[in-house]
Amino acid sequence: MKTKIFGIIFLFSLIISSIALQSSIKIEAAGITPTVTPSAQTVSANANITLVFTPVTPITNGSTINVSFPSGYTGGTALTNTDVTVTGTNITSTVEASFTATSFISTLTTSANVTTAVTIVIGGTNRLTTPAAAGNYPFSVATSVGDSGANFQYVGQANVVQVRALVPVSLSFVIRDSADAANTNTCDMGTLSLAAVGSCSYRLKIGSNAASYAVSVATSGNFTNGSYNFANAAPTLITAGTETYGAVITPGAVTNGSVVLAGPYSAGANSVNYTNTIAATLLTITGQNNPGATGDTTNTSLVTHNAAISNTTASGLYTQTVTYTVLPTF
Amino acid sequence: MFKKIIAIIGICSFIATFLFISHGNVNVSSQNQTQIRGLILSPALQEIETEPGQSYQIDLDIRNDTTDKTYNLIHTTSTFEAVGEEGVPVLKDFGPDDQQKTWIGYPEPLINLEPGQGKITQVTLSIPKEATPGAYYFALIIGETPKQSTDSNQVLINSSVGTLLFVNVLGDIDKQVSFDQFELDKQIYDPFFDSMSIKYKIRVTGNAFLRPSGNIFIGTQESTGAITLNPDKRIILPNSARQFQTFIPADHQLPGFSSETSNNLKSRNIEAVKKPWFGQKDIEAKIIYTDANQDVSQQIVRTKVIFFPWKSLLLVLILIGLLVLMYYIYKIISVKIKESKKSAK
Repeated sequence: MKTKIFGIIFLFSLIISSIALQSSIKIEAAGITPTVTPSAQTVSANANITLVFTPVTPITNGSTINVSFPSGYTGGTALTNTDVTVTGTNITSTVEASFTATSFISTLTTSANVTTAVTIVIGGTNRLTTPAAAGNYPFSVATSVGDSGANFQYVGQANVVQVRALVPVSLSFVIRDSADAANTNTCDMGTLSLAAVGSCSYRLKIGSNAASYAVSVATSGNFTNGSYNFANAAPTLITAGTETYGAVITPGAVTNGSVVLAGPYSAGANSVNYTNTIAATLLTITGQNNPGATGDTTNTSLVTHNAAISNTTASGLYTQTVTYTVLPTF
Repeated sequence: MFKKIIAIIGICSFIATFLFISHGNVNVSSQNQTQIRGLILSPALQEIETEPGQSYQIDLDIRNDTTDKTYNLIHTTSTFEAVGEEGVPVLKDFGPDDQQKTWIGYPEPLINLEPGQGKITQVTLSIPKEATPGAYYFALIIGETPKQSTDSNQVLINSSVGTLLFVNVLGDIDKQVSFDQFELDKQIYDPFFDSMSIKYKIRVTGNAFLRPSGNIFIGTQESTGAITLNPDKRIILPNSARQFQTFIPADHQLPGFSSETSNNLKSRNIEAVKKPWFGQKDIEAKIIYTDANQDVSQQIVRTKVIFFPWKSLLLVLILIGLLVLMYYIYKIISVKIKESKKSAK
């Protein structure tokens, strides 16, 4: 029985001690965050300044509030009791005194503890004037019951950072295989036969932040073995057994606009003559394009070269060089 | 009970109607942020206005944005001409009489770029003292060096990118600009339900290129805002014209009236513009361009249009008609209910 009583007393004492400890911590320090209005002000401005804070520790009758501000503000010593008003629930009257260049003290008479927002308006006949130099200036509030905190008034846009950047127009271009899986610089039709149309494809992958741009194409001329030139499409649907060489261009899309295939190269499934040696506009693109890193068969344009041979096509190794150039429009 | 139902139907129809009026289509789009790979060149376009005898160094930022390809690049220079009225450049070789063919130099004509490598490459522009005043154009191209064919029937493909350089050599320069065309798609607009399409063509004559700016005003600028005349800051070459089109979308769409909005015409230049809701107004266009470092303003064209909310009025009349119809339906139902109650008694 005695052991139980001692145990209970011990537990009670532990609880009371911890409560007392917590209470003492609360009494020692309580942070508040006053608001300052206007929070931004021009330099050398003569205007009212309003501080509002909510006490963490209840303000009791006779408590004081110490308000301090940086020395850059002028007019602090000219302030009087009538130039500062302190209001809030349960505050019946206040007296402001001890005005210096950087502070004053307000003594509160209250009808009950003040636990809600307290508003301090600095400015009446006399006011504070903001510093001549731009800067971020702290106003601090400390109550005699242990609350304290500060906040800034931003003077002369010292809290404003103008961010400027020039984004130049850029163009990017790469030739990719037909699946947009790898870079390529060749389109290989392999060994051509009478029985089938030889073909190969690749993609023009263009990216830009420009409003519009164009792709031009120029070739080395005919698809040739050096002495014999393939017959060219006119445009033509190339079929096996009839010697013809040409290309089908399938314009893709762009992420923010449209792609227009130039008339001479637009023939649907028919192959077009693709042997111009003077650069000609192939695609005109309006709008920014941001194709995916790989596998983008939407925002890329497909070029397919087709060739068919006949019984009279000379043997040999046939080649052609095609150069694409991406330029901005203007 | 019937009274309540009819009241609820009336309220619902009002709400639906106002929701329909006040909400247009909302298009939500997302853009993927993946990296673009390939040969990247920046800036894409440059212009210089200078006295003869001056030299310039132009920096081009070139980058190999691939992970597995080494670029062996070569600088080349062409001139170009504008085809059509869209400002599409078509490359041309310099002619034998083109004095500007020797003005461009490359301290480093060949460049190798490893995957991920970037480089600032210099281009020099040297304008001789005896250069004839006027406009000159250059396409500064960086491209892959031609490859050798292998042992297969194949097409070798080279890629290149270029920047356009516009040079006005000062001296006896003549800059003239005018409107070739200024047309609206309608003469009477409902300010709430009609889009506006303004087509205009600006022509530059003389011997210098221009980048005209300016505005189109509906009524007065203060009341309606201004439309930017050349929103993409296009350059117009001498003795050529450029076609523009500005599209002011309708605030609302009515069923049966097709949306005329297109990506090309959903301009960035009309956000501040509000159509007057009533009255005859001037549509006035003003061009500004720079000449000898002075802004020259020319008030060129003006036309009149009428703003009248006829579709809006029609809609209000339809609503009133519906309300009247609902009232009469309510009355008929009420009478029938009373009659049925009487007969029941």
